[in-house]
Amino acid sequence: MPFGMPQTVSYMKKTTYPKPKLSLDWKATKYTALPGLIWFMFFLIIPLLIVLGFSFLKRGDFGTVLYELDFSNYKRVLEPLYLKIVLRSLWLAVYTTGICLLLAYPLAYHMARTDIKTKQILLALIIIPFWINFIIRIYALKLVLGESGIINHLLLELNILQEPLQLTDNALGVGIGMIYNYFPFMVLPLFVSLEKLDYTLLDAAYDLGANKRQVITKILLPLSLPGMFTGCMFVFIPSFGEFVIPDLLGGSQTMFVGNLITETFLKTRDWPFGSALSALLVLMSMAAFMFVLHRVSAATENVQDINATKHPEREHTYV
Amino acid sequence: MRQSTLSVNIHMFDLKKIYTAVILLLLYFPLFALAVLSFRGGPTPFYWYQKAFSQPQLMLVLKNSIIIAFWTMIFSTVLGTLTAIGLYKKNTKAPVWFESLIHLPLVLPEIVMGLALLIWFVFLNITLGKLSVVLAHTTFSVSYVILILRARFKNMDPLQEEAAADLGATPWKTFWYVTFPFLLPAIVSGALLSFTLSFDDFLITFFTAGVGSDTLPVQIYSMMRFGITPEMNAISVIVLLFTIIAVLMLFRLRSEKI
Amino acid sequence: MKNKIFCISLLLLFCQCTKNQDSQNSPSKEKVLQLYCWTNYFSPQMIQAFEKKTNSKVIINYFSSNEELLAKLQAGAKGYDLIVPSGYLIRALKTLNLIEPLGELNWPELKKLIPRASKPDYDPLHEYTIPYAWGTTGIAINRAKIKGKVDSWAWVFNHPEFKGKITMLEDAPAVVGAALKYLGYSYNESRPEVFAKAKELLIKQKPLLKAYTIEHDSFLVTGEVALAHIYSGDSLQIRKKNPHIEYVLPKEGSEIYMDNLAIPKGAASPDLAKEFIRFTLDTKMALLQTQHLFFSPVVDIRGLPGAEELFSNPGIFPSDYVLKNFEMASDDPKRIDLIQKIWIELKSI
Repeated sequence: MPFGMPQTVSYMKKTTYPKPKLSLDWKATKYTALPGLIWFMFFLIIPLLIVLGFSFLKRGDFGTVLYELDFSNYKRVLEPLYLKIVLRSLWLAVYTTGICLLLAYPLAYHMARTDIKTKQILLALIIIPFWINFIIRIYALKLVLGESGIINHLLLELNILQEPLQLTDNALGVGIGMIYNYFPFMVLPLFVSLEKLDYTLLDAAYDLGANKRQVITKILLPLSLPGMFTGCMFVFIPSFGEFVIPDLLGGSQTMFVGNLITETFLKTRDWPFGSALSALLVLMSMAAFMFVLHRVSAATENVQDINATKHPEREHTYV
Repeated sequence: MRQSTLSVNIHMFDLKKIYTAVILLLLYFPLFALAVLSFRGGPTPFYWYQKAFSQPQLMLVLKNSIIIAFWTMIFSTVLGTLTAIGLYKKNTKAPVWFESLIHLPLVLPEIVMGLALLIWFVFLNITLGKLSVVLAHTTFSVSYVILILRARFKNMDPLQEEAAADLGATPWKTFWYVTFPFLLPAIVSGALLSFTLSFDDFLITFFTAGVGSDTLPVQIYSMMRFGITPEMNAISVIVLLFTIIAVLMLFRLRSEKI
Repeated sequence: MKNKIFCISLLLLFCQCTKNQDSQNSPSKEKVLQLYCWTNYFSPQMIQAFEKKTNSKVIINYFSSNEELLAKLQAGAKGYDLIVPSGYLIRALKTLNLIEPLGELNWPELKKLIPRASKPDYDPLHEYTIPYAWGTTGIAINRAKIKGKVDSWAWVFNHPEFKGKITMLEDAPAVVGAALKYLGYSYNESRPEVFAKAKELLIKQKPLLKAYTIEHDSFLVTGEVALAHIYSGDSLQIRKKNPHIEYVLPKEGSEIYMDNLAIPKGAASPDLAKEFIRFTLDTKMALLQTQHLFFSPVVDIRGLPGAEELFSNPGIFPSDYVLKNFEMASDDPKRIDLIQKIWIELKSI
């Protein structure tokens, strides 16, 4: 340690005390991580490897798995029929992520900049739907959007409409459902990132003559990029593999990757093909994750650079 | 004249407040509607609640959900705490491959995890039941516990431990009287989180549940596909209530953290 | 700190309470029968009568399609005592070694099986299965919304004025079968060219549909849809909830399904399951089922009090003339594969 080290006075006899054993220096702690490692290996890695293995095998007549090497599953995955489903799921994920980002950002910004008490209240109010069982959330949404649901009930009673609106069992239902479900997932990382922001930088920008638009696009958004990326990842990856919402709110009319995989495993019972699809899904999710990780670390470096240039004396010039 | 963000806020203040209020209204409206609906349609407001509690199937799945969540909490908290202690002592960084391993359940789509575990259990000839669900839930809960503890470790001041050792405490005493109390809020947060995650989980349970070990979310999903009964509304509102209580408990814990 | 300990101990106490309830229940009823079947499949009266007679408890688990049943069993779900597969599934179950042989059954009740149900193709000696109920697949219409004679599949395939007011079953073989029948082919067609035509028809039909569903409460009963592809039993049950609903057997023909009871491998109480099977063959029980659930019975219930009015219901006892174009589904795996492929394509447009 560079500072604070007391200088040994020459007349003091140097007694060597035994080096104090810190609790976490125990030899035992070297091995406490081992059970966790074994668990991950056994219940995570091996099952995934088996799925990967299955993707190279063949399907038997009644849905059994034949142990013959077969690469046709991957060729099948790239067929236009299935590719269309994958692209559609991609589009759903992009749409959900985009809209959630747009809607969540102003909310997260407000939460980040308000006083402590409101912040806590708003945080609790956002976390509650986030933690409520997602099936129950979808069920509640279906009650509201259904043809005999509350919205249509009100509109028909008040004679605003003669025919009920078709808000569910179609693409619109899926769209609304996805956003309703994934909105809190976007708000929380955004909030965490926006809260840590140094807002004096915004003040500095205004002082230097920037207008509101420039401040937002050149300072606020770049600084909140790590949070934005994390939020997008939390929404994009699960919504890409979603199957429940298209099932319950879409009248099971359209097939997305999640539906396809479930159907392949549970109805068609083509485990090898389903495994190939799952492998593809994992690959794309990993790619998204790696991409975000790379960009977040790059963006975080920028933020750190900016913070590093902060001159400590400046703080005194502000009253 | 300094155009501070503060004055901008005052101009935009009302707009932001309105926006927030509208969003929260939209978010809570379906839940509110669900609660209102659960009290209607029967002779007394609590009719459906009483019926729900007397329906053996609903009670069975509720019991399953609680038991599974409880054991998941125990397993993942113990496993996660041990792993975090082994990895993050003295604020060292864990090896990259281990970090990726910990993050894997969070990044993997749940559907793939559920199916992979199903295939694995079938391979091992493990009977699907409550145990298989607990094993599956623990696998992804552990990651959350580890990450929460890691954040806590980052804030730990190693000098505290050295001070205790200087004062003559044995390693065990140091751990028990200094480190463990410091970690406790994080451990409890992790336990609470893993309980909630397990209780709420649908997708992974859907694939790994066996005969008679369905959980509440799986049951509600089946009922939504087969036909909704009003008792479901009552049960859903009860789950809602428990979630709210859990969140409030978590917030009280956070404010108690030093 | 105190709060945390309090909360945790509360949680433990709660779990203990729920655990105790479990052990309290088991001594009184040692025998449990795990049933795996469709919804609304066994009338509560029959279940209660069985529970009383054998001092056991019956727990019902639901599946929504034959494929789901097969998939769950294949995935190793052990613990069901009794399953209800349709006829075309039996070959697969036998090949995959998923069901138990029933052994020697010298039951006099078996002599009362109607000709349609005794000695079926998939299990002529009743080694593995006993029939439980049969029925047809047809169209349910809401009389309040449709005027005119409805007697053909054309009403679901070719009437654009009902756009958004039609549902089809979420059952791939049934939907594809309906298309094949409407086009004039056999229900058990297996030529790929013919399937291509059926696929085109179904793709053309899709925009007219509200949903693919086997659940009718939120569509047909509420009046949201006017036409529904439906199983005969469900349709007749729904009349109790909405008296405007009528069941139509299409003139081009459709499917006769035969549901059977079988004991899966790994059943915990196979003897109790056998008792249950025998119980369903009792003519009095069959009459009860038919009265409440409107399934067509597999045993001869003529002469029993209360059976007369059932015989005049064409939904339960369609005449042979009406049924001349109706077939039972075959269990050819190639055909099933083709059906699945069409289904996926249909869902993905």
